[in-house]
Amino acid sequence: MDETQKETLFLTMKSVIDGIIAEKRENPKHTKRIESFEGRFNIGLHVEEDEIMWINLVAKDGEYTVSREVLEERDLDLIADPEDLMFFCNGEYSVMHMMTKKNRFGNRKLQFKGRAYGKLLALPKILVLDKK
Amino acid sequence: MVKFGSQEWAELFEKAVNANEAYAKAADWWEGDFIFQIDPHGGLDKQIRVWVGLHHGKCTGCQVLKDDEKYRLLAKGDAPSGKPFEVEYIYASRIDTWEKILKKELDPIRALLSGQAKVTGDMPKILRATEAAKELVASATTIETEFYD
Repeated sequence: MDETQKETLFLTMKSVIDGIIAEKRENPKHTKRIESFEGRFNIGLHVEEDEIMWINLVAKDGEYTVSREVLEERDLDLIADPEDLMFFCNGEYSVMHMMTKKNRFGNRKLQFKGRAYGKLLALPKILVLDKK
Repeated sequence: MVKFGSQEWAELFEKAVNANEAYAKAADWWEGDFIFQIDPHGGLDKQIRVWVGLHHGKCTGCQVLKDDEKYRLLAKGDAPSGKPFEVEYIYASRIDTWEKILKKELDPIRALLSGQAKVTGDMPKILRATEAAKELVASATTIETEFYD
């Protein structure tokens, strides 16, 4: 994957996350959670067998930012194939599916490091689209 | 064989989409036109833009834009004014990536998530339409297509 493709993928993932957060904000039942959720996450996009592209998501004071650096201080590291992550975000793959099924590289679809289990469990409420 | 990105190809694509029952089912709720942007590479020396009208599981038209024809990308929530070529999405990629997609060597979603293609438009809406996107491509693969070697 060359640098142009990495930047394109980053912009796609950023627009996915930004779009989902924006949609959640429009729904009053999510307002409190979106405003109060805080966390710092490294997200490893497993793009090739031996290549992980890192982006991060920081939620603080009701603001969500997605950028390309690796966070040194973070609550969790998450690793997933970007396609699996997208199917997680659109609700096609459940948390259980992501935790138990294997991806095209033979790893679990969602791998994580860290002990912030509360934040891990809250993430679907933030990053998964509501059914319409 | 028809050349990819020609008006003849566009018309066959419209027919192929309208003959695809799986697309009709997967996209029965969908409203929003596309621009397919084919970026030059190799044997293709200029950008091609194809407008694709999509409404409730049907293709309402498909047209290759002339060099001087412009389209307008609607912002989220903007209603189309009725003028031609007002679209909700742009799916852009280089010709070699389009070729891989249409030859079923590359899934359109994976093209997007490997940085080889780019979508501009409201992401949550399109995230709900992944099956429809795959069926659009499946429609295109029924056309005997010639590329730009």
